[in-house]
Amino acid sequence: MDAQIKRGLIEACILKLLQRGDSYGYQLVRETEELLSLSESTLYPVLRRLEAAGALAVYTVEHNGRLRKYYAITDVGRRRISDFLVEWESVMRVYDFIRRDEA
Amino acid sequence: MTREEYLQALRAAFTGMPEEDIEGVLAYYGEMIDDRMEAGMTEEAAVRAMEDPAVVASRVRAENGGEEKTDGEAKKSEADSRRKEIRRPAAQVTQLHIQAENIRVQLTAGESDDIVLRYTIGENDVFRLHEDEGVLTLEHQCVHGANSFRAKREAADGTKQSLSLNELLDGIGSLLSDLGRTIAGNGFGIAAQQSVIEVELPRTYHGGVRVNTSNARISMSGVTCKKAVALYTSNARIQLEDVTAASIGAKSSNGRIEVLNTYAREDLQVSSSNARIHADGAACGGLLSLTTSNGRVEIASISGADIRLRTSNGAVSGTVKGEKSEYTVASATSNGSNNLGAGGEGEKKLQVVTSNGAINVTFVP
Repeated sequence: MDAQIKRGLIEACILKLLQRGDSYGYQLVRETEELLSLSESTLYPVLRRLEAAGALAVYTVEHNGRLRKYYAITDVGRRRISDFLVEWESVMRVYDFIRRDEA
Repeated sequence: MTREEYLQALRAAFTGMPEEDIEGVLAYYGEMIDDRMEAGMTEEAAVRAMEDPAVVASRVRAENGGEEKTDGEAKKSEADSRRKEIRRPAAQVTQLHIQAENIRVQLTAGESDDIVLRYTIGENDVFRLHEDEGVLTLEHQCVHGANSFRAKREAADGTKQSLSLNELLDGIGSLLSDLGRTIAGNGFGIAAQQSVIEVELPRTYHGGVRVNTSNARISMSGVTCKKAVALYTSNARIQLEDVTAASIGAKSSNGRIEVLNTYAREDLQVSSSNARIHADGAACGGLLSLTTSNGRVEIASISGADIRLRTSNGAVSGTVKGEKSEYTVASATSNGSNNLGAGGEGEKKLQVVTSNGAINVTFVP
């Protein structure tokens, strides 16, 4: 799959997960396992990018005597999700068209 | 390998990166290992679940590089690739046609002897450029959704044949990568469009110009054309200022038209069906016609051999250049005052008609 498209999909998935509730790295990896089989090194830059774009906010929580970073979606992130859905509507129309043609 | 050993190997693999970035990476991987151990894995298993430090480093570096590019240069270069500048020696172009949908067209005089077209291709814009025996045509189309790749495809081919499956797939591929770019890019949505076509003409252009837009303003200023100028829009304003041409036509079906210091050697015809017309210093050697069906006609120092001012629902007011005696006057309003009257035996003609407004036209030197 085209790297740019994949990147966009991963970002949207992470934002969607965060929309359900704040989360941390390992939990995000686990939750996306089936859908994306995301490795740590793939997730890391995604989180950094989303943070830099203001789509998510980061805060630290003390957990079992150590620090854990939590990620929370922002309004910018929520808007990205709705933009994503609008963008992909046209892709889905194309997909439907091709599928009809193949049948 | 222990957690500490892994993190040290990671630090080594990231040598050269800013310390702050390295700290971020180490904290992230340390947390990943800790969380796995907390979930029940042994330290060794948790570390084994991590990728090789060299792999991690190359991925993060590549992504970082990509990120910098996306946010910085790549974005700029993408923006650059969306900005177009087309330049042709004016001597080789006898006719310039611009056919645009909802994009503003602005014609001005440049310093060179070239015709220069500048525009930015927005998400939904398709531009086609044709050159045929001295006629340079720029066509703009606005497309949405699933039609977009088809139109883009047609633009590339210059044809409107039906698409084969392969072509369709190509089109989808490009649509997908467009989308991917949009999604991956900072904006995530539709990029802000700079919706204007800028046209630069030589100060004196030997050819003619025709512009059509369906929903956007047209303006032209500071240019002398040896041939005709025709500007049409269906739903926006037209402005002409300091323009000279063989003949001039401006027509808007729903917008205001302004004509300032503009001269046509032959006819100058301006019409709007639903808005006001303002002509200040408009002059021509032939027919000067200002017609609107629903708005005021305002004039100042206009002149022409045959002046016709018409509106069906507004006043006609202002000044005509010259003496009243130069004109044969005819005027009529069905519902308002009229200072002009009729008569005279001048060589020039002045005809003023409104069905629902006052006529107040005077003469100035």
